[in-house]
Amino acid sequence: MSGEIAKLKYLALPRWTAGSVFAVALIVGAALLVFPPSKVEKYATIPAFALGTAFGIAAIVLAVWAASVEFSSGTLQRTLTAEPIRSRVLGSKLICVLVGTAIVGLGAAAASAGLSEIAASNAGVSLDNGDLAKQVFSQVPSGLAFAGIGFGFGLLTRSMGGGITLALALAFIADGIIGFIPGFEHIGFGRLTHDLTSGLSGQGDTANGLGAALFGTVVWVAMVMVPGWLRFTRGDLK
Amino acid sequence: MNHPIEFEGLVKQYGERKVINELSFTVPEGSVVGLLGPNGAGKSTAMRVLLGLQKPTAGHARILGSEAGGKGFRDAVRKVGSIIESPPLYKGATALQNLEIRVGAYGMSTRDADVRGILNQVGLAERVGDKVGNFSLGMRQRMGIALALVGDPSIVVLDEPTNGLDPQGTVEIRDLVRSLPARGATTLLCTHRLAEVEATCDYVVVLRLGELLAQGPIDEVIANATSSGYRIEVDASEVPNALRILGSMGLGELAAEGGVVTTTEHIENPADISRALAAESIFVRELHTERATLEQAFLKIVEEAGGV
Repeated sequence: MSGEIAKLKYLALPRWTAGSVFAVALIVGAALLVFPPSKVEKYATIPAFALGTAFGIAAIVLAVWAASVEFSSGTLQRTLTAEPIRSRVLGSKLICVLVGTAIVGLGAAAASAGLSEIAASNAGVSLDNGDLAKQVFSQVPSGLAFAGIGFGFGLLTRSMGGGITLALALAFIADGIIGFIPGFEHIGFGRLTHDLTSGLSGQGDTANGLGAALFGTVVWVAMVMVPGWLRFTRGDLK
Repeated sequence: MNHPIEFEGLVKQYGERKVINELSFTVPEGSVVGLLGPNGAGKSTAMRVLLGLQKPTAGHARILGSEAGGKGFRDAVRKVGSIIESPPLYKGATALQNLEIRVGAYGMSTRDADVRGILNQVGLAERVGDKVGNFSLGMRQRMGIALALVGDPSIVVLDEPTNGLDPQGTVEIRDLVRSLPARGATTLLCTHRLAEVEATCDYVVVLRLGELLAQGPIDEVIANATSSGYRIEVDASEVPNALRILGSMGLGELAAEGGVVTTTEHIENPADISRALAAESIFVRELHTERATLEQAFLKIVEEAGGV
């Protein structure tokens, strides 16, 4: 685990990815301050949407990177001679990714809510802080699900580019492709994570209840991660 | 004698293609063994199977008596420092950070692992804070060796450790490899630089297309593969008599050119040659022991097996 934490600490991509999410929160906060919206609810929906999108993409990038970095840098031999039990290697990586993603998500949500509150008070608008917090913090669980599919695709493709492309396609495009199939309209990964976020925030339209959205999301993550996990633990590695 | 590294009937097959075929050899404790072979001989694959990165189709590859997936393998493989093919580096991290990641993976502190001492040994102490992505090829090789030395390994597996090094760097790394037995490390060295193997290794193992062609102490492998004997210089007029006398001494095939007679075999005491010739009033002007190089022996072994 210490080795994985050191990678998050010393290598550039995790820093840049986390920094990008905070930058989006900061830019959106600044925009709200400079260009105050006319509708009160925008002080919550705009940062929640921006944070949700940036955080989701960042979670995918970080997770794909964590799963595939040893392949791209040719460092598997040193990782697996320090810990030859491959499930432990993956377990350490996954824990680091999920904890790191959660920390970044919660931190960025807190920053985003704080900046939105400052912008609103600057414009003389009174916000429902509970509602604001719900909307921004509810982005975190779906971000963790995005990290899960990113990790799975990273293991399956063993490639940063391939993993990110497939994860983004599943998260943002696949629903449009399978949505026309009767019975599949509401069970795409994008729909389920949307419903998960909406269910937690109490805002927006939902096609699935919170429990069903959570269950469906977990099933999608498992469907992507299990084959990747098995490929890593059972296959030949270079 | 213990053998920390053992291959026993190892087979590795990709589809129909066998890259290792019934490979068996052992590496004696505290020795430096050179693993030689043309490209595609299966050297790197054998190392990967040994370290548990690839699974054998049949047979066994053991480190300290344990094989991948078996009891005790985790403890055994953590005693191995390795570079296979290219140094395993995070290029965006500094030299020190690379070592800290490695040390962290072992659950050690940087002080316990003496990372600065290791960087000093490989001549990178001055570049501790530089990103390894900016290092030259030779410096990356040194960095790879530094990583392999973390945790004071009892087995070191090095694949082309002097690749890209200048002559001075090559000598330094050669000395470092030579010093590993004194640190209690058994070393498996894979390289195409045969002069380096001759200068560094105690034993050699020669592979071709996944099959073992020769193994043993370097002198023995050379002697078995090549004919090496003596170069004896006498007065040209004495050559016919010299050939008659030498022909009965078990010196193998004899050839003469001018006043020089060459043999293809050695005898236990070369002084017997001078003595026998002197007894017939033939006086030896010069007597050299002719010894083939490892390169000559390697080429002959591979050629006899069908070439590269």
